[in-house]
Amino acid sequence: MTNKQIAGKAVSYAFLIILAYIMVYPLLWVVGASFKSNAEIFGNISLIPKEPVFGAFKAGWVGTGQYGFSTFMLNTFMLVVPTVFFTVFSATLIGYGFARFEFPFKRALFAIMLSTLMLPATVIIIPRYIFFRHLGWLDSYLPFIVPALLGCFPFFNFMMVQFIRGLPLEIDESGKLDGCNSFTILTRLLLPLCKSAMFSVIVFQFVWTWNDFLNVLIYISSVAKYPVALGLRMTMDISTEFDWNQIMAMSLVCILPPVLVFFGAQKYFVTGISTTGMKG
Amino acid sequence: MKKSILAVLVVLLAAGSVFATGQADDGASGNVTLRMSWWGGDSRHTPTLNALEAYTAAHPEVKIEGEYGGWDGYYQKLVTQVAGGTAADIIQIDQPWLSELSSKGEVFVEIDASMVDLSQFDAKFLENYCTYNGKLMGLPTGTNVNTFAVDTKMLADYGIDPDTVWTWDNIVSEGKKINAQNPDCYFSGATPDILRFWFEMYMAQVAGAVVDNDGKVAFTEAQGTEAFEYFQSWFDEGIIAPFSQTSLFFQKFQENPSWITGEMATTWTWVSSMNKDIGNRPNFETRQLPVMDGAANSGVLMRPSQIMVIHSRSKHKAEAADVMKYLFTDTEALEILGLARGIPSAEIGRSVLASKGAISVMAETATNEGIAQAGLPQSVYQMNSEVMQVMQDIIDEFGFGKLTPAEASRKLIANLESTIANL
Amino acid sequence: MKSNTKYNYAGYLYILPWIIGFLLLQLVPLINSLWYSFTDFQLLGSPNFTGLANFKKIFSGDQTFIKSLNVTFIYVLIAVPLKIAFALFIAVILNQKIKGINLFRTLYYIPSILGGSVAVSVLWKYLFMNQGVVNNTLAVVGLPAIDWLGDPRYALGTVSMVTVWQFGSSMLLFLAGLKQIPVSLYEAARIDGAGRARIFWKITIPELSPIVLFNLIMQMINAFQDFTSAYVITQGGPLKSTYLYGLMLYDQGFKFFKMGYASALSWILFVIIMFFTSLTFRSSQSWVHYGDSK
Repeated sequence: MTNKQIAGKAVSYAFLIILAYIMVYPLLWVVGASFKSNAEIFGNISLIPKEPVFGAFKAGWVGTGQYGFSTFMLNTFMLVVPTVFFTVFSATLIGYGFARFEFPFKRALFAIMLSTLMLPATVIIIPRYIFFRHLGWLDSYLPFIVPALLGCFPFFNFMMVQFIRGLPLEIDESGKLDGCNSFTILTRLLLPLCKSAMFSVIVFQFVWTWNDFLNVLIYISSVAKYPVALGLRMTMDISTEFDWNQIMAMSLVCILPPVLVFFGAQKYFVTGISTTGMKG
Repeated sequence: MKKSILAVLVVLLAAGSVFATGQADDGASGNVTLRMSWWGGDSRHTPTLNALEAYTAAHPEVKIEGEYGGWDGYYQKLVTQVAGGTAADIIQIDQPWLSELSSKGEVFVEIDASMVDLSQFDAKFLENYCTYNGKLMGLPTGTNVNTFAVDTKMLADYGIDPDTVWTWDNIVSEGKKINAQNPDCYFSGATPDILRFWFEMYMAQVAGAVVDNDGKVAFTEAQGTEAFEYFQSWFDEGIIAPFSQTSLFFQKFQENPSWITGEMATTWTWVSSMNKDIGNRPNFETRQLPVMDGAANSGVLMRPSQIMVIHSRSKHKAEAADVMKYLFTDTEALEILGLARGIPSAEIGRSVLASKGAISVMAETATNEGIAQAGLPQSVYQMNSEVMQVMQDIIDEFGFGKLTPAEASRKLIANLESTIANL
Repeated sequence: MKSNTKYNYAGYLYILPWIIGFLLLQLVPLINSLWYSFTDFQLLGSPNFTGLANFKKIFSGDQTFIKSLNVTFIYVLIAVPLKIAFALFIAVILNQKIKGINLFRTLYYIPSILGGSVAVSVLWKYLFMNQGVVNNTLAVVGLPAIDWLGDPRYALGTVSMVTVWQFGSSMLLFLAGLKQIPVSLYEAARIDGAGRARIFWKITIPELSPIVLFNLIMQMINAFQDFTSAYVITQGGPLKSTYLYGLMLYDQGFKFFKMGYASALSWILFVIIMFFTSLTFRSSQSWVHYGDSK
């Protein structure tokens, strides 16, 4: 390596490290805060507690009510895993349909699909709640799982459209010559090339459903079915004191699964297509 | 590895779909399942669950499911549930919601003496705070009043007599000593929302109210200007910190580091949230709030800590009423519940706790002193959330120096009138 | 539509799940909310038809509406381009072969996971308040303190920065897109002696353009409705300087119970978003290159 290259690398690293610090600072702060008392969390801006308090993790995990975080975690998995699974499934099919086929009213249908994203959720909450009540879905995870199965997350449908359209048409054509039908073209030829996109769907939907507060708040009433987003807030009262460090500690525990999913999905961003050895 | 992941996935999928569909159906074997919803912290959840369990032990045919959580989003969920007709049988609500929700339709069951022994409660208190259109709609869990919490040591350190009886004048003349000696410190910690409470109290004393029971603006432009001029002196003399420093802590006054680290000596607060506000700062005592001589209405607020109501669409109203009776008047329940919802309003509740020595001297003093100086209840109009927003917006503009006292008064009257006309 | 298009009706089969989902789950609530916008619906009780009254009131001088729309436009204008540019920049850097790249990638994605968490909701004030971390850091470098969240002039910028900070999802999409670019293109360019900058503008950007379009559209749609950061950090203040449209809708609907009015406001926003989305799509024909159009 020449001196110039080494210097370039050093600059890259320095930049990445400084940026990483800014990116991760809040996380470090939460770690510190799980060992601080309330007074220190609000009174001491340093990351490191002056008088560390231990036990927040254990106390937070057990909780003092009927259910602890083991229940909430399990609930969240039961909510998130089917939702993510069905989202990937439906988004791939729908994305393929819009990306590779010409049919009457395609553009209109696509516009309608996107437009469902443009109306603020605030005014949909009540009509949708009443609608789901008629279906008998309240206090269950169906308001999340069924829409996922039926492709009601246009973000992902659109995303898959864009990724599939980014792939050359020659792939499909060569598939046709090899005797593939449209479905096997998708499963055998296109999907292997869309791995990185599909894992993006998994990561996004996992993280978003995992963190979703407003929808689970509205639809889930039984504490036995609470996911972590509700569990985290269930002791936060306006007038009585609660232990912030337990909330910090449980927040940390609760971001572990999404972080692990992301970390695990990473290799698929690396080995997506024959791009190893590429340089920017 | 891949297989095991797949296996886990399949199990979770299966479990998810089974679990997802299970909505409990009651009434099959003559049993009754009641739902009760409340917000709070652990100090409320645990005793409430225990009390419900004790009730079920004595009434095995009744099952009570607690639907409890934090404060965030509680009201939005309740509103959604009421709109969908799915709210719990027994609901804990905040006092202003009683009229807010009742004005939109019949949401709660009227409570009468056949359900609960109403003589346990102060009749005037029930009438003022728990009724809508003359009908009793719920029962007060506890009595909550305004108080003035002061750090006696900090006051003394700055040469202010900690036993001062506070008036609007000496708040300025004494209070300014603190900021004069240390520019980082202030006599009182008031975020914009707390200054609004101060303002409403001042107006109550000057003009009886901000908005009266007929929905009319109760003060004149001159009175408004006078009030804003008075609060201008709070900023000018360093009684409270500028809004640019405190607006961040809107409705979260107790999270302000300046407050926590003891740079502010006093605060207006509710007795129910006093402990949270004081946190672990030592040397706090409560004082009475300033009241002008001859004021017809002190503006010191008193209201139920929360109100328990029965949902009008409950299928088991009689059973729900029986649970209410238990929670409010049964010695066993009251002992279990303790101070989970503040000092009980029901007489028997107070005597049970007093005999156990559960009520702290500070809370009791603050409550009694607050009740002694409490003013009239605010009008439904003044408590309307849109009207409160109008007041808050003007206070903000005034506090940030965008409006002079005279302008603030004029604009407040104009905005209040147009908003009330549109309600 | 082109007259020589050959239709393949199998396409309907693939999008069938969405068609069912739309008709079954989305259409009814959507129509309901449109109906509400012509009524005085107050959440409870039944709505009364009031014709165009809501819209008339909005356009005849609802000061909050104007203020809020203004704030929202500025927010979209700051947050969206910055977030996308930043995400693209970082994705390109992270796409290199650097030791520990996986770790960096995860670290940069963490804000997007942590974003709206209750845990960090209290943090922002301590970062940006007067004696906060940011000002303390500036002081070390000798820069003057800024009233990041207390001054109405800066608060919206600060809130936008928090949004930009969560650039992880856009970054991830760019990374996924970068992986789809065939290496052969780069090799050919290098053989032709193209430099880094030229490769970036002539190959990376065009090849990535479908993803840029996706990010642009989605971030725009989201930003117009977004209110999480503002709600958590400033609650719309100081002096309504961060009172985003989404916050106003929430207040009107769930605080003031004016769901009819909120619905009307929502449909106005709907039209605005629709307008800018179609504009973007229209412009995209000149700068987005799809693999299927060659």
